[in-house]
Amino acid sequence: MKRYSPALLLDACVVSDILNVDVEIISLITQVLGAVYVPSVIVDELRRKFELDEIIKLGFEILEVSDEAQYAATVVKNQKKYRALTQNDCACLIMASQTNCSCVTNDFALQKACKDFNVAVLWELEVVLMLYERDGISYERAERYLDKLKRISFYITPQVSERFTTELNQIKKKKET
Amino acid sequence: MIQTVAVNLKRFRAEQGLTQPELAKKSGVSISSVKTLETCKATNPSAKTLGALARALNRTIGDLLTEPLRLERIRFRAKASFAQYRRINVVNLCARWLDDYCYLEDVLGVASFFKPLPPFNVANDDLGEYANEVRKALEIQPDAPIYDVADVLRKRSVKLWYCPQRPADAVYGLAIQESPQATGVVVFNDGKISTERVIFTTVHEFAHLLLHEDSFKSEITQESKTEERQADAFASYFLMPKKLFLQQWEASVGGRFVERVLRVKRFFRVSYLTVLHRLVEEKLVDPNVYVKFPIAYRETTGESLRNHREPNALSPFDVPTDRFQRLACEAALAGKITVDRAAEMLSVPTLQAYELINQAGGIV
Repeated sequence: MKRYSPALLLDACVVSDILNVDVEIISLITQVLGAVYVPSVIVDELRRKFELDEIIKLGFEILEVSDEAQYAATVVKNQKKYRALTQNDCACLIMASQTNCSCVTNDFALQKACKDFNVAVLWELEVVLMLYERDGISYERAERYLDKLKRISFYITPQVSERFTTELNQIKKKKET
Repeated sequence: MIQTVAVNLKRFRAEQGLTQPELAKKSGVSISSVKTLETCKATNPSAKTLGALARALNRTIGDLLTEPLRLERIRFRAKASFAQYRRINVVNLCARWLDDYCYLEDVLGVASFFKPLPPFNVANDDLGEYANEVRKALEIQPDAPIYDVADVLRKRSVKLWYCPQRPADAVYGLAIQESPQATGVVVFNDGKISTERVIFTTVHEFAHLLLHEDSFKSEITQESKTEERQADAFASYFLMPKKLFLQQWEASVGGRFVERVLRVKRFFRVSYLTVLHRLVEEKLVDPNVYVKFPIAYRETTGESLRNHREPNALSPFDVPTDRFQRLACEAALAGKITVDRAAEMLSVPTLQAYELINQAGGIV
């Protein structure tokens, strides 16, 4: 399993996916893997679609992005190398770096930048695999998560699906032995 | 960096209509700090100061620290004079779009460069003939109306943006010819102007690229009546070639005058005023038709044409799609940019962009 820090910082698409696919999984993540943070800069975005109180009740914690972090994010964003990212993406990156969180994102460009800053990164489905590995969810629930997610997210290509299923089965086998 | 902050501070303050003392009060930053920042006399300001100023100006620290982009070869003219900060904002907005467009093309490996068309023979001065030449060069059938102006521009690699905001009432579009790759037309379509106007403006700005290459200078801000008239004439003939117009007008004989105008305008996807102008130009009707038509229209339909209402109008869904949105979605699908970056480019909320990209990727 990949390197990860025991606190997770989620991007807006991942939060949206979880709320659409399996909301109850949040409390399980916090119990099994660690705190689940949402950077304050994406809260307004989420509010357009979801009830913020509900989000907090489910176990998400809002991580305030300081002026210093915003400043640092702008410095990153204004570099030509990071043209694929926005100010908010860079704020996520800086916050994950400053708070030693793992950044959970399916955005390849953000993942690449995280690696440049030595920030641990996880795909959304890796979190699901980790939960299953640590007995947070059942095999069937993990399978259901994938099944629902691939119907609403372009990130879940047939290759990603296949890799997830292979890894899920490997963990299952390991558990059985 | 300090110069960027100074420029931005001044323009955002002007945008909000705040004086220096008012900004100081609203932000809690001392008035002397505001002054020294605006005159580049300050050393690097702290993040805390920038944050306070940004919040007071309804902006972000990123906005304060990011230099507004400029364009040298832009044709942005307006009848009304524009406040300097508003001009900088419009140019910055369009420059960012064009820069993003070229970036998307580059990361997707589909860079395109403006393909010039036959030059206009000024001595001849027949814009009708020139419009026909251009139509021919673009392989548009002489007896066909133009259904997709975006496609016409695409054929010559002219980038097109239907910008969802309008900087001022009297501004409809502008054209840019910064480099062969950075050649484009921006039409400000806030949804309050008719689709016919959007189409006409697209061709009008395209006409400037073809006819007035020498007038692409950012320092010229006043409209040139001659150039505007030429661009209008080109757009009219391009969308409604003389011969085809006369055929269509003839074919409508038998209907009432109002019905004939509405039928012809719908065929060519132009406004009723464009049709009336042509009828006057061809001496097929008297110039007082501009007064008579609204009355006749009211008598026929019981409806008024006040407030720039377009009769028998095209729907907003008839506005052609520009290629920019597609490229942004493709870049996100290919992992070249983040969903949030696509959202920023398309001026939509992140989760709306996520939905758009999902749909572009076949998830409905």
